[in-house]
Parts: sequence; C-alpha cells; structure tokens
Amino acid sequence: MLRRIHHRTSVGFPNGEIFSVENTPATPLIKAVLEVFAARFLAMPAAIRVALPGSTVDVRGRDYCETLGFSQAALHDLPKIILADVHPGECKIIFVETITDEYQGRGFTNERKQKVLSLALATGITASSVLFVSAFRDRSQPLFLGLVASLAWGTCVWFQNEQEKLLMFSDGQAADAPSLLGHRQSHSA
Amino acid sequence: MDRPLMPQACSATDKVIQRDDNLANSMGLKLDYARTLPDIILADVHPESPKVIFVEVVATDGPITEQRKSALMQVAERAGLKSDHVYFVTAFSDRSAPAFRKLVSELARGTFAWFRSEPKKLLALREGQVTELFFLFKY
Repeated sequence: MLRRIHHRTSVGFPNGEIFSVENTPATPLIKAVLEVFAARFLAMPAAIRVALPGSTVDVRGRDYCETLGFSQAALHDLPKIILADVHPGECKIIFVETITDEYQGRGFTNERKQKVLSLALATGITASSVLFVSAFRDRSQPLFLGLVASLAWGTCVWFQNEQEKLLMFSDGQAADAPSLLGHRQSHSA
Repeated sequence: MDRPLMPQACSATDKVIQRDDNLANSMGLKLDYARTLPDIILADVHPESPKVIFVEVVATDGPITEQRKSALMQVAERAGLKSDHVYFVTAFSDRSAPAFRKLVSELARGTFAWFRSEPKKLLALREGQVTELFFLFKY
C-alpha cells in the first residue's frame, strides 16, 4: 500500500497557481524554469504547456496549445515547456527544452529549432514572436559541454545554478553588442 | 564595430607586436604597459561614444574569467574609460575545440566569445535583469 504513495513537488506557475508535480529527475529543473527563469526574464509570464519528460499527460496545457493553433499531432514534437510573455499588444512564445542527464532532451540544435519554428509558423505565429531556450542544470556538466557546439544561433541557454545569467547565441551585428550586454546605446549605430 | 582601430596587439609570448600610442592618447586611453594587458586591444572610435574592446585570444588557456575581467576593468578605469564603454571578448578557433569546451564554464558574465570558424556570430554571456528577452534578439 505504501509503495503507491508517490512524493510530489509543489511547482508555482507564473500565474500564481500551484501544481503538485510528480517527482522525477527533471522536476527540479522544470520547477526552476517556471519559478525562476520565467519570473526573471519575462515581463508578464504565463505557462502555455508544461509536461514531464516521458509523460503522456501534460501537467498543464493541451487546451492552451490548441487555442494557439497547435494540432494534437504537433504536440508530440513540441517542447515539454512552452511559456508566453503576454505583454499587451503582442503575445510572445518561449519554447523551452530542459536537458538533464536522465532525460537528454535534444536542446535547440539547428534541426530542432527549425522543426519547432515550422510548427509555430504553421499556426500563424511570426518568427519574431518566438524564442528558444535550452535549460541545463550547470554550465560545467558534461551534458552541456557535449551539446554546446551544436546549439543553434538565435537561441539562448539558461542554467539552473546561474539563475541570473543567460548564454545568448546571437548573430553578431555591431549594433547588437551593447544591448546584448544590457548596455544602453549612447549613439545610434 | 562602427569604426575599428587597434591601439595594441601582443603575441602569445606577451611581446607587443604593434602599439599605436597616438591612437591611445587621442582616445584618452592611458595604458600602463607595466601591467598585464590583453592580447589585443581594439577601439571603436565613434566620436560620440568611443569603445574599447579587450580581446584575449585563446589557444589553450587564458580566457576572460571573472577575475581577469575585474583586473582589466581596473586597467580601463585607470585609463579613464567608463565601464559601459569597455567590452571583453575571448576569441576561440572553434566552438567544438577542446579549449572552448574546457573554458566555457569559466567565461565571465558580461563578456563575449567569438569563434574564428563562425565569424559572423557572437556568444554573449548576459547577466539578466527583469527584462524582456525579445529586446535582446533580433531576427
């Protein structure tokens, strides 16, 4: 009987809801993405989809995904976490791949980015409204070091143990440099 | 860079191979050559907003770590530069090179990595504030 009692983790969603999520090796990273990353880097964060790796049931979100225009078939190919920045005027979508030793998700390689981008474009979402984030536990873990050379440009990486930092794979333009580091430009380039 | 120039370049043995004191002086950049300077110092000599770029070229070691960044920032401040006019770049040959994989976890926040094999790209280590990610990427 006691074997059936599963410990669960409380995960706070950006809108204030608390979900009790099954404890898996990926749960701490998913919890950090929802509670820390979203709060730190998005102006008005919301969770569109949250699912555990390997699970066929979403913690939240199939109805939200369908509202956005994603088909049931597309859900299989979409990342397990989809966030939104629901800033008035235009909703932005953030696709997040969580990569842990136990669930070695694909990360946003060029191929993966193009696949997800094509699914997004098919719903009418514009390319300028989406962003791709690969989330890892640690910048020094072999899993990240093994993938860093194949992560796509135009995406960014967030680390659970360096919550205030982002690794941004940017197409370099002279004018982008100040904004990439958060500097205010003092002249128009 | 809008108007790139090079006040200094060193070889791997710390020997200065080119030095433009006139350029440095004209920018108000008073470099202390007794101190350890980076391999290359570039300047973007926009009249309203001059910028200095400290570049470490890494074959095996010597990236811009937090400690190195802090030391170089002191050099820059002593030279009369504002911190937001100073940029730091660690240059690698390739993203898949052992040197980058070995050192990527040590690169300092607020710096860039550049790869000879991907010259039009730039890897930025951004210290995040509560901000909108979408201002940071341009498609």
